[in-house]
Amino acid sequence: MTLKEITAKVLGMDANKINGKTSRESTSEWDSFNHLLLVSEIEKEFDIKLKMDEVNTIKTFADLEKILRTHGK
Amino acid sequence: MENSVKKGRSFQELKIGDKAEFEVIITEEMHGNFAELSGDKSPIHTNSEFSKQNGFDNKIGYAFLLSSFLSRLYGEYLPGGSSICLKQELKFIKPYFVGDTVIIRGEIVNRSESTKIADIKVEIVRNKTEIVSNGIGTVKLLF
Repeated sequence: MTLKEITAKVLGMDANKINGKTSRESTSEWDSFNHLLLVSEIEKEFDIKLKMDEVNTIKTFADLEKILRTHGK
Repeated sequence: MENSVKKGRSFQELKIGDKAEFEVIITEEMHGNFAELSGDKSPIHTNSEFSKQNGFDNKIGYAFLLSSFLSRLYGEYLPGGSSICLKQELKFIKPYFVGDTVIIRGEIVNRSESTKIADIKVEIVRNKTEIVSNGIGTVKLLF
């Protein structure tokens, strides 16, 4: 699955409506529980382990893309 | 009802491969109580003749009664009162019946340090050998 597909699945959203600017603040589905689920699913799918401070810095979909790049994905 | 505060396992104490299981005998009383609680009086669960006419040996047990035992698994055994359940995926593979003994099993299969989330593979087995339900639960450890 792609990052966008995982995000859409966890948040229960249409993948076509997700872009770099999709944010926790503007997306009601991206609540605190779904945020943790999303991180956990990303770690499993891409076989990476994030640090707690990384998890806390994620505010937008673009942040997720950036974190994946820093982990070489 | 308030219970004394009980400490389950912490995230750090929880390891991949940790397992727990317990047995439950499904009684007529449980079945009836679940019918009242859920409000589901459909004939496949309440009328033996109807169930037999539809190819079952007897009225079939409620799938969601079985799933309620996952609450006991997580709350009392694994991790045992230190988590909240965020997600549950469950397949209902085969029917079960009043009088069956079911085993509810759980095993930690994934843990995320950054989120303190653990995935628990669950399996519900009828009469020691027949898997009637399986799936994955995701819990968030509170400490």
